[in-house]
Amino acid sequence: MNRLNLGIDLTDWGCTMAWYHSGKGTMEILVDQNGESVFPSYLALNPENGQWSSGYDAEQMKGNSGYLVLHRILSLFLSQNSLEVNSNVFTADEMMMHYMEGVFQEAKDRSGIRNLGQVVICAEGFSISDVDRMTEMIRTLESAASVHIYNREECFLYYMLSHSKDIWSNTSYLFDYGPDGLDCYELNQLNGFSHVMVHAATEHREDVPFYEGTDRDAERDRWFEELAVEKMNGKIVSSVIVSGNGFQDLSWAKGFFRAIKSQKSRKIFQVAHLFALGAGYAANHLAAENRKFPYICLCRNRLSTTVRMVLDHQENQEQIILAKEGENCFESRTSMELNLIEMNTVDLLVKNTGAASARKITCDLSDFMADGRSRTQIRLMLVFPEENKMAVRIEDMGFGELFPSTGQIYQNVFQI
Amino acid sequence: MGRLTRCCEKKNKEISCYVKSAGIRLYTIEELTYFLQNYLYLIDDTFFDSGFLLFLRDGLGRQDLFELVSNSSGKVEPLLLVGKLAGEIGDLSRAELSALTKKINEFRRLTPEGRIRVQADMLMERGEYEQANMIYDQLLAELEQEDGKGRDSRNRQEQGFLYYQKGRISMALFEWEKAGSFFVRAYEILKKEEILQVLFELSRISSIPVCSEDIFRSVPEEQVARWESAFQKRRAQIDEEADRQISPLNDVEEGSEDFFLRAEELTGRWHQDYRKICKY
Repeated sequence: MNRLNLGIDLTDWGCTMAWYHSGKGTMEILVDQNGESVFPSYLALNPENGQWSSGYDAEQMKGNSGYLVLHRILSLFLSQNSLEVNSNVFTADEMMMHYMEGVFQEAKDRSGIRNLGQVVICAEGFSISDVDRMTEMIRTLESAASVHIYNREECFLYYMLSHSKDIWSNTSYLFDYGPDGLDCYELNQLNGFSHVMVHAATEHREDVPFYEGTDRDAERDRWFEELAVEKMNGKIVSSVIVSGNGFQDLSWAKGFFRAIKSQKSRKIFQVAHLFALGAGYAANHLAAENRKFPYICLCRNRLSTTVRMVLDHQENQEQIILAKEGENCFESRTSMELNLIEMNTVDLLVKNTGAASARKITCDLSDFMADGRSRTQIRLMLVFPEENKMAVRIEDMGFGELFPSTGQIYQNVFQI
Repeated sequence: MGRLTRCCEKKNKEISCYVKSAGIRLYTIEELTYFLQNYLYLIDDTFFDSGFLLFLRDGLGRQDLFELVSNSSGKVEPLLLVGKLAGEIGDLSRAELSALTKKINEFRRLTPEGRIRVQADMLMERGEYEQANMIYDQLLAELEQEDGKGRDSRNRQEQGFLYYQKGRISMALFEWEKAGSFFVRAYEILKKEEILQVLFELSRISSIPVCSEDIFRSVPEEQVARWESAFQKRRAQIDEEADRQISPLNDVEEGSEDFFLRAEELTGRWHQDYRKICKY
């Protein structure tokens, strides 16, 4: 069955969607019949019949006193505010669900494919519980879809790594300049590892000159020129990408580009909707069953740690990997059932990227064996609420009727 | 040395196997292996019944074990089948398997009465006091019938041990007076000093006399002092545990239903701790 693998850049202003057009062999932004790419972040409720509309339809209801119109749906969702209309309470999750229903419908209409496959949503500000809420909510809408929430750094990495190596083999930059300011993304390939490992980091510049109006173009250009010198001086830079509404017209940035091109080998690209495209590439990689993503990405929300555990098997020991560097921390979850025999600790081996050796984290389970029992079964769960935090939960399940569970639970959060 | 192993997958979690002789259900292959290793003495012909076969095939999804047991049942001695089964499960290390084989061989060498006694001891360790007591009574009755048939000395020793075990059961049930009389009878036959020590501790715990003071007359004073010190140490341990457990009662209103339920639960737990620490 032909499935739509979709990348969505979800912001407070609207959604942009990207998909891999297999016929053309290119990653494309989905546009409607008018050539519009953005699906506005609007929801409208007709209180009389309880009908919701979203996107353009909802935006058009602005000023119509018969409708309740909501804007900035992402902020509503993240703040978890609810809305009471005619004594009906609508939760933030419900409102987001109506909006996403509209987004998916729009994506299906634009692409002509009715079944969703992998969906990667590029969004900022999500905590692990927000990710759970969002994925759960989308599962009720589209049970066959597999949903992933990535941040902009991750989508930037996917965008870059899906292109030829000569644009990212050394250092690369993305300058995303829009109404919210300037975000400078820096990508570096890390050397000395057996796998190709790339690292991305963002710097948000508060001091960027303001974005609208042309009367201060010269001042703005000078500021960006100084920024280019500060960032790139003495570095081998493969490419620089400019994106966002602030770079729709490039005529003001002559000094900036001159500073970038002080090294002739540096390539400059102007890319619109880069994060949607990055999310689209990520969705496409996730959909390719036999083609594992060959790079290890390190950035915000990506683990820079591998967690292992040693298990016994008859006469031998085996090491199993519970979490791997480069995995999205919200998705890297482990749950397994183990036999704890004549011991009252569980050791986790944590090795950070580039560290010479692993360090041992010992979980003390003396309370599980407090009554002198020799064995029990445990359920071990690892969750990573942030890329450098590991939450461990171990539950005593007991050993059948031979040693009933003590009901003890071990919980701890470790900095990794 | 401890081990951490993966739990085996189970085909159908609803299907378990009830072991009548132990009064427990087994749900997983790990539990079955543990049972074979540690409860060997409770395994007899009835263990490998149709329910057990169903558990192997449909519960654990182990057709190989199902075939092994169904092909051997009635043809191979149950204890030998235990060894074969444990080997086929493949969960035990070589050392554990050889220890189990040794245990099986030792158990097979016992007389039928010897096997029954070991079973009773096992039941007692598991806290199945009533069942264990019944077996001890039955064995004592058989020994009395055999009196004068040429095995008097061995039978007397055996009787002494059985009284000692019955004393332990009474003590675990907090029946001090009864426990005292069994220990006295055991001591009169076996003349062992450790029985005297148990009697000494029992007389210190109980508010009513459990035996005549004359029984301690021959014990040197230093020995009594040592017993007293050991007793005080154990008592402190029990008191400490009781204090720790009773503290949650402070949060509950005295005299309320919750208070009584909680107190009952704590008493039950205290009894368990007492038995564990005293090991009587």
